[in-house]
Amino acid sequence: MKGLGETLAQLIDKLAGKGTNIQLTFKDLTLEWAGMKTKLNGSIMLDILYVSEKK
Amino acid sequence: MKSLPSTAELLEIPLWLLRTLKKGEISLYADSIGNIELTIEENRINLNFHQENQLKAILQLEAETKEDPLPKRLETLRLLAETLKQERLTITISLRDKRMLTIGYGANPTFSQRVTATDAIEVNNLVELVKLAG
Repeated sequence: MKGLGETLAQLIDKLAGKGTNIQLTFKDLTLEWAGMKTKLNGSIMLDILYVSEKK
Repeated sequence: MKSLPSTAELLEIPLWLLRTLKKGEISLYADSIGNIELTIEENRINLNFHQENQLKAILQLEAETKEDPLPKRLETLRLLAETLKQERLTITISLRDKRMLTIGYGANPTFSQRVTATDAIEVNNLVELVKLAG
């Protein structure tokens, strides 16, 4: 999952850029993970912050 | 320098999404501007981009993998499409509700199969796609 997390972070960086507020809205989202089913409704706000990168 | 994702790492995302998300909708807003809508149906994800530059960014990220660019770009897409087809999963990519690409099980290619060398990629709007990828 480490690889997936890093790749997702790069994807968010590409899509939104640094210092951007990202809002994810879910509508009747059904997830199934490790045999468990969950339904999500609502939204979450992500404040994307990055540690300073070495140049 | 930030290390680029490998092709395998990049392929993990759509596969993980399709295996985990069963149905529903996700919308992504950046600084209150609507950017991407994901509609999940059974074994299918429809990705609708509202901004051209976001779709371009995805295509560029795929091209910026650790491996060499141009032929690898198509090979990455082909690998994803054939993996999706094996698992009977489909991803469609649209720009402002206009279908651009269908990959995986639901693809029904015509002439594009000669270029992609697979029946798991359907190019729905070649002109727009070439403009975006260029």
